[in-house]
Amino acid sequence: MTHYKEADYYDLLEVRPDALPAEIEEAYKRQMELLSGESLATYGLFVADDVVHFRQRVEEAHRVLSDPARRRAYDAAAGFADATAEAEPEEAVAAGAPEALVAREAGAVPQAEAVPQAEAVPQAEAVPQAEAVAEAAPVAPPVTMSGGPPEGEAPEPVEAAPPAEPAQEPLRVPGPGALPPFGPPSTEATTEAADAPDAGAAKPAGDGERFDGPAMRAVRERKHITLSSISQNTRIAEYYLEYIEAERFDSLPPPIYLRSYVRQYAAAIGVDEDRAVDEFLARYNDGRNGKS
Amino acid sequence: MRPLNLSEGRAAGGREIWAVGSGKGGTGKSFLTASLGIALAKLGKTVILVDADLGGANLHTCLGMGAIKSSLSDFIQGRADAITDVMVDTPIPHLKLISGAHDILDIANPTHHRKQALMRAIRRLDFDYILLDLGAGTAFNTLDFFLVANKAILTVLPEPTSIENAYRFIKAAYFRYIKTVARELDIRRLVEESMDARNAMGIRTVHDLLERVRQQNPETGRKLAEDLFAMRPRLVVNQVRTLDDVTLGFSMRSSVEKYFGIRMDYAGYVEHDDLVWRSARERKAVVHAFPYASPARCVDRIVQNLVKDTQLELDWVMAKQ
Repeated sequence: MTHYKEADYYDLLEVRPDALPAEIEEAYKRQMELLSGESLATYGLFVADDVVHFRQRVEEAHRVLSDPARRRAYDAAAGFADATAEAEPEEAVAAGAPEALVAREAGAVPQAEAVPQAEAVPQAEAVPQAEAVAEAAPVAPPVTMSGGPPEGEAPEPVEAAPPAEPAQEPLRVPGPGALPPFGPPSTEATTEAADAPDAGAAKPAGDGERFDGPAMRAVRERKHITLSSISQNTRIAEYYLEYIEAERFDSLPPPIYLRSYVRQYAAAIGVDEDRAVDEFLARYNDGRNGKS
Repeated sequence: MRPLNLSEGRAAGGREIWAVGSGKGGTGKSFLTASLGIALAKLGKTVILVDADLGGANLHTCLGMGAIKSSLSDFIQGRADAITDVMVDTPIPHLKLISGAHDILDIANPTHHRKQALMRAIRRLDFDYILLDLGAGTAFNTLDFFLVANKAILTVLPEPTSIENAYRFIKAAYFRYIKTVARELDIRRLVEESMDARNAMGIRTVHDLLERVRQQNPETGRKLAEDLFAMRPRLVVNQVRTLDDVTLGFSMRSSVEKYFGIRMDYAGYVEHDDLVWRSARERKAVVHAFPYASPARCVDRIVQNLVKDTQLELDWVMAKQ
């Protein structure tokens, strides 16, 4: 979940990209209630007319997502692959969806060009594990994104509250001598990121083209897949997954293992496994040879 | 000088510091701290409770203990050499207590130097879990303890005043954090100015502040954003009576994330139960005296979420209905 100014329409309504129309309506009502000024949960929260802008964004999201045609166009433009729609992204953009374009300008959503690879692949073919599990929750063991004690797990993916992924703490450097957040520039994670100009912001934008750690993390986060669920399914220690995303090359195991880790991770988040392995390993080698 | 940061709180040897704070008094901080401690001790962990409410300590009462002779003030004032000298046993195995200060005037506002010494001593305590019961409100001392913890727990009641102050508390804590870790003078000045809610720059939220920092210094902004992303206060809603009170936590989490631009976990809730009040009257620790009653079960659930780094799920709450 992100700040309302940058959130995509699904995030704004707190529904999954495959939410049914009824779920969208319900979520919209809930959000508007929260922003009505009557809600206990937001008492004293908003300053000035911020809530008005917030509400406008939610209304805009609802306008688009509640209209099948506009929603399809938005999905295509924003990189939410729609299983039912085969529309060419370019067409969809050309077809209108002004809101989508606005959102794109705001840098919130991936560029249209990035759509085909990362997003279309998982839905169309290959059935990546984590997604499949999430979708087929009633039969498969629940993904246990996190959550309450095991007793009363409701396996159905419910529309609201996309779990605030408990696992993403890649920057809380574990281990002894934990690094101060603003420590000297020698910290591995920051150096790597700083040296790789495109890896920096970790915005979900353009992640279809790149297979570096931050981009893959962005894909994973957008799909609301937690590291802990991947770890459970793949038996890869969660911290290694974190290191992959943070590109902490020095902390990762030798390539012979890493290769398999990256492959499984890529499968779990539903991106091209071969390209992910090739590109990540290349970055790994550069990183190891280049610095420290 | 970087007086505090989150990773420092990750004390050596797998020890964890949990701090319980709230924007307002009377939200059940001491009750929750004592209860969390008891629950952890029952899991076989060694636990020490530190009454860091410098000025209004009453953690001992929540444990069903009478007045305690030695206290944190003895250590802060130098009357005790080591912090372990002021530590006392509680009726619960594995659970120790460092009682809060009694002589309010002296140490409600310790000097920076003393505070640092205190934090260092606390961090060195050799327990699996170190639980800090903080004073209410947004005093710097309180915020600093809150920020130094591995798990920063925020308690609220389902009441407007409590929620309003909780938001104030979160904002103050984050702004304080940014100001503390920022090295650049201009950024620190920026934070200071934006603490005034009516600042001319229109900075109202953590997100706004971060945006402005990015404009002034992209590199600092980027690091700060990464840093803040790793921070996750844990929300506990106390004294819930209805389902709406329970789901309040989800709404608060979502509002904080979308408006402030920060992440928060909903660790759990404690159901309102007269047993808590009755036990307090009888000076009993309720979760110890009534381990199968609702408060104890609620606390156990919170502990599970905190230990496992998970949070409450809406699905689970709804399924329970």
